[in-house]
Amino acid sequence: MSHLSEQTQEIHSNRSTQQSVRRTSGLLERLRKTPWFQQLIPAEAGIGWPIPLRRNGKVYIRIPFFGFSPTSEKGKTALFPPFALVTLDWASLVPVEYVNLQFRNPWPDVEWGKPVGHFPHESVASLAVGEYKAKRKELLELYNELFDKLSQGSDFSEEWNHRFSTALNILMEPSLEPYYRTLGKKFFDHYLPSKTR
Amino acid sequence: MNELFDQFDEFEDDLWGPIADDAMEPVADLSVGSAYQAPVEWNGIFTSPSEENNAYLPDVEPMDQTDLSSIQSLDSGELQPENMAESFFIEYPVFDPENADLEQIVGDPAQDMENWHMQSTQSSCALVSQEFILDKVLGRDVTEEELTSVATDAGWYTPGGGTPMNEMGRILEHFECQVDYDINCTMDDLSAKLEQGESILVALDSDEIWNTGADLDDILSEYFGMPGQDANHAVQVIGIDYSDQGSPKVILNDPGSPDGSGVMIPADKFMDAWEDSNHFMVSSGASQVSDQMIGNYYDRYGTWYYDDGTPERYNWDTGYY
Repeated sequence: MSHLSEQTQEIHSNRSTQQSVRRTSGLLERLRKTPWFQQLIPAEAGIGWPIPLRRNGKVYIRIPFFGFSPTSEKGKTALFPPFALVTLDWASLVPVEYVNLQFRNPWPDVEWGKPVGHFPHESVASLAVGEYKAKRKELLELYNELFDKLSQGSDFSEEWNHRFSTALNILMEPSLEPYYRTLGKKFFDHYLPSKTR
Repeated sequence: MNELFDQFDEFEDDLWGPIADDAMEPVADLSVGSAYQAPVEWNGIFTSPSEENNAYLPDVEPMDQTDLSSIQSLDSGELQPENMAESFFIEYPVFDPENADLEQIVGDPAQDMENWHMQSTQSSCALVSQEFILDKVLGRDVTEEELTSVATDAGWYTPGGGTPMNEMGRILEHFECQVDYDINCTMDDLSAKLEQGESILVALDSDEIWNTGADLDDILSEYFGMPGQDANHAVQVIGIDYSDQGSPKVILNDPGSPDGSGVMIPADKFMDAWEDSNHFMVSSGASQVSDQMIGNYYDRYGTWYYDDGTPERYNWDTGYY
């Protein structure tokens, strides 16, 4: 048993492994063990699809957080609007911004405690759990490629864009999509064009 | 520089906009047809600001004008405990004090099970787990609503989200309980705390105890939760059953499951689920506050609590407390 403050030391010792960790789909799972997550983000929260941001030549990863909860039926998990957004420097994974969306209130009509949809949505409902996990891992690895390409200034081929768009289309939760679109309008309009309003 | 990069560069300015210098500026008209309101109202917990008072509040411009009118909030009744009764999350046995070998039990699960009830909202597991402990320590029925109010007020609880791990014992502190926060804990640590009569709250991956029979071939429509999220969930540890030395069982009060009172989880399963929070544990001994102090007192932050335990709040309409 060790006191909570000792966790910071452990996180520092793991910094050297972050380079490899962020290359894998384990990045989002890894976030849950960071001190800032445990300080600011509810433990019960879902980690949303990342949104890339490039500013002043640097690349950042923005991660929305939303609520979810199983309901009375198997296969019917309630989804709640994103309530927080954290921006990390992609190169170092150091957090540079935390936004409490319930405070910032971009959606005045939203009742935060009420579900806005369910998981699984139609395009994944018939998938096996293993298939879904594989598709999720594939999309997160495509995200890694996207961030690396942005960092290196590489171009995105049509074929790559199609792959990313297809994967995102399948996995994006329709009930959360309008919220994502608010948080990253140009990004999601670019990769989910068929759903552009 | 390709076009996509330029889009990302523009994205930031489009998204946030500048913070308004003049709070008296008219608020922007959103496409959904309602004026922006300062975020001081959550789920009716706070009183709504009048327009006059709004003018004195620091205001920010809306992030975007996305039309969310097509989104309908769903009926949250499906999350109510009475509607959960037919479901089953956990397929493990429940502690039965009449048939248990009490010599082999650490803790007092029979007594703690009396304080169990199911959480009434999707995200209140940490609040309700602390409520179980307070019911025991204070000797009165503390309500989930009361704790939700206290925790929301203090910023420890996010409606529709939940409770950050580091805030999971704050309500106990609020009621003057002695609280320890530890990570990298072991079964021995749990046993030691229980033997000392302390109450324990842990955070664990609910997927690993709720989807006990699931495998990768099951379709998603047979699954509780969202695969791959590995979100944590707060439960109270109320005992350990060592009657089978080869396979001890950890006894939980799980507020998130209709079958969660005294549910017995094999220790190896429990340790796997617990690992996701770095084996995080909140432990609490007796409270320094008596039942008589629940109402009519100031807490350490200077907030007055009425005799029903509710805190006083500022009324934006009247300008009075």
